[in-house]
Amino acid sequence: MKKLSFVISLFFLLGNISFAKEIIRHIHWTQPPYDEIIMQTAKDFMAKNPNVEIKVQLVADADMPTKVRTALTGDGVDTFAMPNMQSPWFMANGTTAEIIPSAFGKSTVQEVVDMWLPGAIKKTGGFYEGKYYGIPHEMSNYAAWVNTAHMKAAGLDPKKDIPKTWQEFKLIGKMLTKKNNDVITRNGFAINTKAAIFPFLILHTLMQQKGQDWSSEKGLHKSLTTKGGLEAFSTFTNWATKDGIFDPGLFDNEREGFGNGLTSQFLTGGTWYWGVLDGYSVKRNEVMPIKYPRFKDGENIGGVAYGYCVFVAKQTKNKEMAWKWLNYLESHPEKYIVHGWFQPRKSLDKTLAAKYIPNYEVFGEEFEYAASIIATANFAELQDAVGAAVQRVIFEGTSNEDSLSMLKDDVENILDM
Amino acid sequence: MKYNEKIQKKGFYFVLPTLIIYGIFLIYPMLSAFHYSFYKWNMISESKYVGLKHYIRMFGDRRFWNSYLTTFHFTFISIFIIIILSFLLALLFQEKIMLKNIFQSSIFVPVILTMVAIAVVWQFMFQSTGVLSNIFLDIFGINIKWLTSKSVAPYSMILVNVWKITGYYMIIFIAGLLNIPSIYYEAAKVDGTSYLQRLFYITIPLMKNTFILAFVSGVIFSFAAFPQQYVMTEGGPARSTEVLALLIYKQAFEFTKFGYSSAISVAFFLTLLVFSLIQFRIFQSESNY
Amino acid sequence: MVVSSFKPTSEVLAIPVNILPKNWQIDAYTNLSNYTEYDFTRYFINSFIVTFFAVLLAVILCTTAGYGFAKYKFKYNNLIFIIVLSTIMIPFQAIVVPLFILMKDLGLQNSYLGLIIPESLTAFGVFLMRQFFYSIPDEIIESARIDGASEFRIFWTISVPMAKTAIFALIIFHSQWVWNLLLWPLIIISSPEMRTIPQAIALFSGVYFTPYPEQLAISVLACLPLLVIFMFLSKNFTKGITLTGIK
Repeated sequence: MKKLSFVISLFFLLGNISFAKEIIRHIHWTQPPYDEIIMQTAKDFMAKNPNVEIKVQLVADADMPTKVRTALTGDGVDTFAMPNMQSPWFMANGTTAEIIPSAFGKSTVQEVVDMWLPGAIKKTGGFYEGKYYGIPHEMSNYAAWVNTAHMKAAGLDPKKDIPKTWQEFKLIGKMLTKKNNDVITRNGFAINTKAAIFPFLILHTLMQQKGQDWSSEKGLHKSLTTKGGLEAFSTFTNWATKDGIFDPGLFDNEREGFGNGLTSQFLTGGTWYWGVLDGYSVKRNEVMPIKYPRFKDGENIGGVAYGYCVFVAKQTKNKEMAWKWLNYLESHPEKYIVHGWFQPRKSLDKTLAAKYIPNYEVFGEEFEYAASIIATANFAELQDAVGAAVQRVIFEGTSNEDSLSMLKDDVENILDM
Repeated sequence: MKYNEKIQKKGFYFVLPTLIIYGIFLIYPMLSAFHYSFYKWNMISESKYVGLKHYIRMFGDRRFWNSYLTTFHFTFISIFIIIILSFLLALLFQEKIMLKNIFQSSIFVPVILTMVAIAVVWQFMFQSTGVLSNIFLDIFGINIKWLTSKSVAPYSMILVNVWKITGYYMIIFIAGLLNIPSIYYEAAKVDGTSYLQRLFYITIPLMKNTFILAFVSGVIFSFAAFPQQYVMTEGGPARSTEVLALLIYKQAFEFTKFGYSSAISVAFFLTLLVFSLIQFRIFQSESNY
Repeated sequence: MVVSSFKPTSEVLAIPVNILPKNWQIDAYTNLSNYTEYDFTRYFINSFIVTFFAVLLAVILCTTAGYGFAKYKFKYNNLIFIIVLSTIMIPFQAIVVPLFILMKDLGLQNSYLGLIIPESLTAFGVFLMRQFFYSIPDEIIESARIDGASEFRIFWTISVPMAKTAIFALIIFHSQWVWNLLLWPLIIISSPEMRTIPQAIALFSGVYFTPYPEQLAISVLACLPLLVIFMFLSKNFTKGITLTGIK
């Protein structure tokens, strides 16, 4: 009897061990068709590591920070993705764990960092105050996009007349804007003025081109009282107020508007935009991505670079396994590149990028000159304040000077100056 | 009478289950939020006691007052229109009309639509080359900037609000009208009264409780509305549609200023509490007959 | 009325264009089955379960409480009512986080109960029922008491049937609210199998582009159950209530 009960309890013990799976809960944003790649990768990882279960939670992008924050409060997440605009908050508040080299088969953090293109982790938001917390899931930079069919119809030459300065950009915008009496029926340029992030990102480039340092909180604050800062800001707001090339009421989302042929130029498209365009009426051969225009005597800075990283939560019990999972997740850049989604991993065959992303050289060259976005835990508020400053000028008729002065007050409040 | 007192006390038992469950799942979190209004908390780190700092900041915050006034404006204009409109519609549907069910349903459909559908539909309507704009251009010759003008946008939001919840209150009024025994109307008809006389001397007085319900709950709900602002304007342009509920949401979930957000919530709460108390004072709900 | 023309169906069935679309396709609906990672049937079932029980619980709590407040004069009646009513005077966003922490401590996160209980709370429902119970003549209740019926019996067999229209109104309102609720399920649910319909709709809002036809297709499908409930219950709105007078 004793022997039997011993055997039975041993059986249960062993049974429990083999049934006790390690669970890793991963939160990611949703974007068809990449969701399937992520889910499949998780399945593959589980096949290779039978004692681990990956539970992937897909959440709409806008809800991501809220979801991850509440999950962290409730101890309900192990790994998560986050864009570089939001990630500093998570890193600054001590919710993320540092990279563990052994999970990658390396012995130092620097070796892990070197698995990606130089500066990639910094640009995608995985680095904060001297430490590395995340590995890149995507890296993008903005190019300017022009509808060459519109240009041809207006008598312009898509090769020679591509705008290289903001002055030319405005003139081309004027030529391509269509009106019906006083109502604009096609924008020469468009941007989403509702969601503050988009004006912020474009202003970021304009400011940097005017020699301002928007990669730091102090620099941003300082720029609000300089001549260059005012010029950058006015250039942007004038597109809506004085230049007559942009009516925010025509549509909200410029990526859709461009795809529907309702704007001739826009400034917020990355390599992934080719795939998006396929869902709309404008065809690939009717458009072209080009380098961001520059100011005539401004700095040589291109469209912003930004990205997403994946992180391990500090509360995670088995951090090494979590990093192993993330490393695996991010080891298949070739699956994503097919859709125009770029992952800056060194193992990615360079020729694939050129193959799947038309005009890839534009993005590649611009990336060299893209400045890193400010890494601050106060990003959400700063972005909101900048968006409000832009809206004041465009919708309230405030002067650029006054609006910047109010923005300065807001920034000082946010930064507790 | 002792017997009667005993009976009246039993009423408490009817209320008890609700009191307990609401106490645990609503009152307790409310007290918690109130507690946080005296702290600085971002949901993750340790909270830091800051006393009245948030309240002091709030009173001097231009953005808060803008939000407060915007909310009042939105609420009272909406409710004024909604109550009149929904009551008239309820009266209308008491009569025999053709295709009554279809009409009723089409007025109620906006209530059940998801915010996504509503946003897409209205964005089409409000675009500068959209349906509404074209209609106005043809009739009045002006192009209205529905969502891109600081002065017009609040009214566009009111329009969407009215469209969305008139059906809601129409149902309440219909239910209220049906509760009036037809005996009264029959007796009045026999006496030779006109429709309007019956309306003003029988219907409206007997609908007092329903009007109170509609008005008080309507104000409370519209005061807390924010999905349409969040989805359609994000509070813009230039914060002209940034209602309190949206500001509270932004402060808590976008800026992670949970303490400050709670302070604003307390201001929100006290406003509605005062309003409700005044209402009940003026229009004591009564047992009828 | 202009309202009827806002049916999203017409927008859904076409590629998103600026003007009212001319192309009608049902691709959006058939495409939904291609999203193999999203178990839409399951989400509908979840929504049904949660909505049914939340509304049931709401009706039970609201009718009992509303009746108690309206028909009895017990100590602190008005005060307790104000306290209950005050729970709708605070925006839900303000209590979401404390409520979440509470649910976590109770072990109810990511569960049906975790959804049902908070979603059954509606002080508006209490208010609604209270106002309607006021219109029930006290004499009827008194005479039933004289006949020896217990309070609960009176409530169940006399008062509740007389408040039928109000209860139907409550069912309509509350099921609409619960069905379309996004914020709370988003926070408390962490496994995909437990998702409700609004979350499923939100999943289509990608970071770079949103496949509108599919998103609207699922939104239309999501509205149908509510429409059915409404049509079913609104038949009762055409029947009047005739009081047969006091015995």
